[in-house]
Amino acid sequence: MPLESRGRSRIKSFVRSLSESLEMPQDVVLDVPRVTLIGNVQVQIGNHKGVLEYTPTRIRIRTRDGILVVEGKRLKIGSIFRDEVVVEGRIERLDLDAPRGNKEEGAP
Amino acid sequence: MIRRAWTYMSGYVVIKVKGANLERFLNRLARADVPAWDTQRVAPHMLVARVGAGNFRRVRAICRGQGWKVAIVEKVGLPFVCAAALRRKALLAGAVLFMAALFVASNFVWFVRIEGGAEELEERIMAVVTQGGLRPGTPVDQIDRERLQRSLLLEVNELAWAAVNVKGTLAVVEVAERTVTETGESAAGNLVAAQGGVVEQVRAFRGHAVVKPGDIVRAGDVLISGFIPPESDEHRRLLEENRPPYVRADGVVRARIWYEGKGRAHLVSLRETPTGNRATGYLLRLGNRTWQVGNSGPPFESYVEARSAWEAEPYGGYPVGLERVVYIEVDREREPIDEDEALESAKAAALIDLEARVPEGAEFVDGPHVDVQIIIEEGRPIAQARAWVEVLGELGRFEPIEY
Repeated sequence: MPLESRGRSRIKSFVRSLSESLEMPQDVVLDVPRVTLIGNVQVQIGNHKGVLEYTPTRIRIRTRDGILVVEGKRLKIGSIFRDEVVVEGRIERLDLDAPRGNKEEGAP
Repeated sequence: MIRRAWTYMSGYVVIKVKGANLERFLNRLARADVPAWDTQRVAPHMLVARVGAGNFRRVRAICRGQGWKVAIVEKVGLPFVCAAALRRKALLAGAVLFMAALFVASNFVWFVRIEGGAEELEERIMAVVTQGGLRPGTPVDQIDRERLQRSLLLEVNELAWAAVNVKGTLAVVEVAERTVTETGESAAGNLVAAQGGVVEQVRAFRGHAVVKPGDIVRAGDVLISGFIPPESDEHRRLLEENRPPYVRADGVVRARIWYEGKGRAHLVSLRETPTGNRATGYLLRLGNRTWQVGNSGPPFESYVEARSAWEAEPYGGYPVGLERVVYIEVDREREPIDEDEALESAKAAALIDLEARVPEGAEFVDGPHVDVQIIIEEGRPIAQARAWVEVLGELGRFEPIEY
């Protein structure tokens, strides 16, 4: 397992340096999350890995690079697709909880 | 906006999902490529969301065995409206029928209105446009507006301009009348004799008198000419003013005028009594040719005919006709009438005829005289009377000059 995981991260860093040198958008090439905040009323999260928590005051969304926490009032999921989720409401706080090491939280 | 319209067009359902861990439910939807929107966490164990109408089956499949209960709260969109309409077949049929009837009806002219012409012209204008194919019931696309306009101008002389406009199911024939200048004060013309007579007195107010007292004139002869003769001063003056040497002739021409009336009366009357015998013959007509069918010609020596005809002109204008002739045999009896009586009635008829011809208020100079003679016409003696009178009256009638 450690061997395989090391191999994978090597491939990742290769692809990243390749995409950087070719000036390609990394969210497209690397499957990294893309977060767009529109004022304080909407946040679009591309390349998500699923909703972990959904309440009117807090929505947590898993991404490859950690858990995105949206806090606010009257929050709701405006739409959800395979690779994009849109959170609407009054957004007060946006937080990215980066994972410690390779450990990821709450498989769906 | 576009997305909303699209979701309405394709139809969607508002669903309510109950159960634990509804976040996972949303993730499963996303992974199964079932888009969901307008989700709301109304309670910790309840979620409301909208999904495409076509995806509801897959939503139910996702819920199966997971402890989530899904139910449709509302169905929104065009497919559901259409389905509801389709269930009400009679209403739908009525709506379609109504639209169809409206569409068909709007392709015909329902009313024809004439605008702008004098009332006494309307009947003639209507006759012309009807002849030209414009009447209630004519399909709108069969109206040849230019041809109608042309024939209006050709057949109704009083019109200076005509236009046919179709507004929906209303056809408006707009016309403008020619301003008639022929009888206007400025129009040049002669004073001519309205009928024959002997001129008694001539006074020309305008124009050049061409008759003198004692002249015998016939109807149509010029009495006072509107043409000024070239050698006169007036002719020169008119030319200097750059005007044609014509004026509107005016004046008084009094004359002795004869009026004549005629009357006649039979001296023998014919009495026809039907004998009761009758025969029927038929005439078949095709184009210009006729054939006798059945009885050829009248079978009686003296008879009267009663005809009834049917004729049609089908396609191509080739007329076909059938005529029925009933010959009714009669006995003719000649019955002499008292001669004096016949002469008197002829004279009376002539006087009545004369009276109708003489203008009211005419001054009688001579007469009325009546004479009567007996002539033979078609083997029958007839009394023929002539009544005449000589009056003193105005002879002139204005007639415009064309130059």
